[in-house]
Amino acid sequence: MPGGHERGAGEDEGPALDWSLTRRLLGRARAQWADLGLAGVLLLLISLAEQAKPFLVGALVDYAMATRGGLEGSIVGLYAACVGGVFVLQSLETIQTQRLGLDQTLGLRRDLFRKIHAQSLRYFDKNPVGSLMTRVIYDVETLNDFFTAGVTAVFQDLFTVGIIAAFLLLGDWRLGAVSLAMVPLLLWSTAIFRREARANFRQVRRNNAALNSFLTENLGGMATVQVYNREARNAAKFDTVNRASLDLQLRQVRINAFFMPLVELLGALSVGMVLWYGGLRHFGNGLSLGVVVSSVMYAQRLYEPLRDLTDKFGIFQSAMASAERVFALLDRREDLEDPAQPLSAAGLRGDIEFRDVGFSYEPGRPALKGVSFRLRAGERVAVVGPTGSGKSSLVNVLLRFYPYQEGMVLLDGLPLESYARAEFRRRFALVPQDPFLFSGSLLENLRLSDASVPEERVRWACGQVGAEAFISRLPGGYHAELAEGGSNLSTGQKQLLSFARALVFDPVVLILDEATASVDTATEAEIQEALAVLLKGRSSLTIAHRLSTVRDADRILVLRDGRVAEQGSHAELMGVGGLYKSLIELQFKEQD
Amino acid sequence: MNPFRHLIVHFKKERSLFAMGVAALLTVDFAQQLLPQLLKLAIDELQNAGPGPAAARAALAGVLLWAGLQLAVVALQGALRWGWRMGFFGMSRKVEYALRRQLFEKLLTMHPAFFRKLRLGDLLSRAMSDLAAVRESLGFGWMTLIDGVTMVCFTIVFMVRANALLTAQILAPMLLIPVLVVTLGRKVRENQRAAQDLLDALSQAATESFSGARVIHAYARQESEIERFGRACLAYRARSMRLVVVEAVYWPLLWVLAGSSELLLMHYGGLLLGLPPGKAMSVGGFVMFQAYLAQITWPVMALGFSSNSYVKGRVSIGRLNEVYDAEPAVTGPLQAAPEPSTRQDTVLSFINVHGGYDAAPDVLRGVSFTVRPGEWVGLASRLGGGKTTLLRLAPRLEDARLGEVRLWGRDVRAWPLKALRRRIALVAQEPFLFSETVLENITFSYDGDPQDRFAEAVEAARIADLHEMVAGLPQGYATLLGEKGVNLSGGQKQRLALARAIFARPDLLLLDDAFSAVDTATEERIAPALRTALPGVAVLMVSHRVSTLRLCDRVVVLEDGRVAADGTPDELLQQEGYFFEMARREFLARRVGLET
Repeated sequence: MPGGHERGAGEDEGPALDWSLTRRLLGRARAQWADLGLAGVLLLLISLAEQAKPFLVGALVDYAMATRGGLEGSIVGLYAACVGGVFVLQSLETIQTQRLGLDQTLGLRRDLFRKIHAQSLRYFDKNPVGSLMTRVIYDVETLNDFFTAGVTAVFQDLFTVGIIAAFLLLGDWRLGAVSLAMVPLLLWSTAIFRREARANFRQVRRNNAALNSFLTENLGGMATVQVYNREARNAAKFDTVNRASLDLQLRQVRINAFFMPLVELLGALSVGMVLWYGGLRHFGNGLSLGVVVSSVMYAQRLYEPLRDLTDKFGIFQSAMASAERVFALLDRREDLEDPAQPLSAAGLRGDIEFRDVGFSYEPGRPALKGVSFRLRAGERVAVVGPTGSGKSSLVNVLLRFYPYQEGMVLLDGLPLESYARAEFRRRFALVPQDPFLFSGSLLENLRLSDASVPEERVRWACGQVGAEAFISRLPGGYHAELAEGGSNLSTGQKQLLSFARALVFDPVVLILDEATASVDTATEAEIQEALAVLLKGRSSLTIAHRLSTVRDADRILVLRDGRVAEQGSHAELMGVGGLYKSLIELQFKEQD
Repeated sequence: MNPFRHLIVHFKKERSLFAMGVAALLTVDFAQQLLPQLLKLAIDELQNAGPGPAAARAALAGVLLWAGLQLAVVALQGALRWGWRMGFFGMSRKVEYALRRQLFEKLLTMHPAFFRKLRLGDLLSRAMSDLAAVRESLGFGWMTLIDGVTMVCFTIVFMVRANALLTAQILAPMLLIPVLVVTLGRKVRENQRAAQDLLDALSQAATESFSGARVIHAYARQESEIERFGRACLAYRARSMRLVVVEAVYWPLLWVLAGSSELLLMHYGGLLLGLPPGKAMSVGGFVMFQAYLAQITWPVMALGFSSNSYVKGRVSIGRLNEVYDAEPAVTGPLQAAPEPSTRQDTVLSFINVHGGYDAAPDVLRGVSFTVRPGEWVGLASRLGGGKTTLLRLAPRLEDARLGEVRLWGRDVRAWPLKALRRRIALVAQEPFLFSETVLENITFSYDGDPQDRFAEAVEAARIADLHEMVAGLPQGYATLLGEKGVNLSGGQKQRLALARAIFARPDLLLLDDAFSAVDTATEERIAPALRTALPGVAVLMVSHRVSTLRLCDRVVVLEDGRVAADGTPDELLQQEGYFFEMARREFLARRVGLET
């Protein structure tokens, strides 16, 4: 629903121009100042060519009457030049400004996108995907409008008014002054009109929002409305909001119907004054009829740009609101930073140690408390625990998705923070519980759009995990297009693809969040086989939901309330008969 | 079928307003023709005045007269403009209001299956943007069409009367404008749509990339994501640039056509001005032609736009008709038979019921059991076992595909819908509350002023163990819920929904896991209170807690879409089966300190 994108309340109440924001917007276009200048020159020339027309009409009148056949040909020629000139200049100007706008849009979008992906996952938790998308897409679009439809039009209008004034005053300064006399009045009345219209428009918008939320609520809760026989009453309630909307809209129609004629009346008054005073100067001072004629035409042309200027207010307001949001994001400091001189993660062995690690998503609500354990290179560690005991937090800390607050995480004996995130994560692979598939081809999904990964590598990985068979049956094979979220694949198939993706990148450390979804026995067997391939010769940390996984693990961590409650092998922990034993009975799929 | 059939009904009610608008518009357009004439007369006074101050004074007096008349005409136009604005824009707003009202009232009769098919976002866009497009084509569309045609016709008539030959010489390029707007305009629109599609694709790419942040960051693929998004941005830029090029031709071309007519006027008009005195065109006449050309430039362009707005409006009314013409899937009989007696020993019976949602296969495959007045029956099954579907059959939120559901011995389909629903209250696991006051939410089933029933509402809240919480709120029962008021916890919402159901005084209360977010201690307080307060009311409740089900007189266990066990909780605990398994797991979970 474009247009309705999460506009902040008070969007239409902010300032129309904020200098510091405008300066920053202009600053971003610094490299194109010459192009901007060219666009400005084109706008000036367009106004000049367009506004020379009344002057030429006046000149034609004078020459046709005075010389009876002299310079008319050249005047008509000049007029033709104006018409043709406006055509060419307007085309050039459109291309020039729109191209500049699109370039700015492109740069801004890329910067915002990069900035968002530089944030930790905490940022993604706090900001709904929809609002991030709005930043990158619609706020930037609004800024483009500001530039291509706002700023350029304002310049065009100012040039037009200036040039008209110049022509008027150069023709006969006294008559010119009379012609311009109405301008302040025109500006004043349009300003009043805008204020009235804007005030009403704000109410229209509020009422529209009310209409929208009434509909959202009632359509969402329709079953409740119907079960309690509330149809008639809610229809009446809707009618109140709907009618309020109608009344406001009719008021808008009336405001327009009152002010538009008022402004036109001022225009007619202006034309009348020019005719009369022009006549006076014509008889008294021999002012030529041509100048009177052109002055009348200029007086008629003054209104349009003035009205247009006040029209731009709204565009400027929403642009400022968007600019503020966009720059706030660009200025954001990242809550995770890489060291200036990171260690190389190239020869990583995959030895992990947690020493008294404490971590919380929000201050005061710890998710991990004093967690210590060691995972030696090549070992398999399984993590179990009730929901909310901190299993996922362990993964979040290990991958540095979030900054942790206490203790230390060591990777190959050195603090995790001494590696660049991108560097060490490349040596890790995460297989999430619910495999995330992007729309696009299967191949791109498995190599995550990294063109440097050859297709053969992907085929090999799929062969290893036994996904080849079903892939070859897909229309297009490796190039088959996946629907959003991979909805055209079964749960088991998605699992296998997720394994293959991990294998493609040949990780040193594998982090596996086992799926809880049940699959049939045959698929389960396939997944088990694929898992065996995947785990071979790697360090692995598995959030376990399968009995076989915990049994095969070198060590099991039992978490409860963010602490390590028990630690040991399956046999040891079963022998203890504590939390682990209960969990096994309660939560684990009984296979074998 | 006429796609405008629903529209016409509402339009007809506003036809006198519309007629007034047309009349006013025609008059305004006619009066417009006088303005260039008056301008001509004024300038001619200046040109034709003889020598001497007296002649000059007379000429100036004439100018004043014509200028004054000009003002009078503009004032008249202003007054009439009110008429046509109300006639077109007011009329279209009123029709929009009526269409929107009809839309909502129609939706109130629609069945849940309809809302599963047409999603909320889709319906909202019909109620807002499609209606706006219809209104636009009705107001702006008609106005520009009528204004364009009359303005062009009137003006041409006046121009021809003034000078037919000159009119013929200059008008041709101007009249090409509507043709261009329709033909090249289509190309512009195609390009706009293509660019918009790429922008939509771009926003989807961004959405997907941010949703997949975890995977992308885990595999450190930010750079390739940025590159991928950058490529999509470039594609959008390239497509937009093509649109820019088309637009860079389109608009200037429209202006160059208007400019060509002006240019022809300069040429031919210049020749006429230069003729010997007596044969020459007056300066006023020349200026008049300038003014005539200027006043039709906008209407001829708008003429082209009105066809766009018609096309858009037609598509939108089609989408609205899909709602207006949809058949409500559930209707009761219109003629109500006398309501059945409530002095029976069965309130609700399921007789060999089969059913499921939409096109999905049956989840219920022959369910039969009965509920007696005042009896509490628990319902248990695995996830997706059809418990919720079964409950929804009673108030006809779904209908059985096979078999029969009876209330007080009568098939629910034979009951008038409203009468049926007055006797049943349903509390869902995630109840839907409205952003109104607490009182209004509790008295939801009462059509009058909620204040009339304040005492009953408080009583219902007490039974649902909600009264103390509500009384503690700053505005008590007048507290608003939702975004603008307080946000209730899951358990509080469930208890409020329960109070709403109790207030409705049903014969049959359906609880669909209605205590899932309420802690066990509170639940154990509510249940007995409920039983004492509603002695004759039958309760059918779904729960995944054995502790809740043990409060029931009977428990019915569904397996494979059929009744697998039916008995008192104690009986069921004596035998192997799903209920026993539930109890075992709950016991284990409690031992390790997990809330289920």
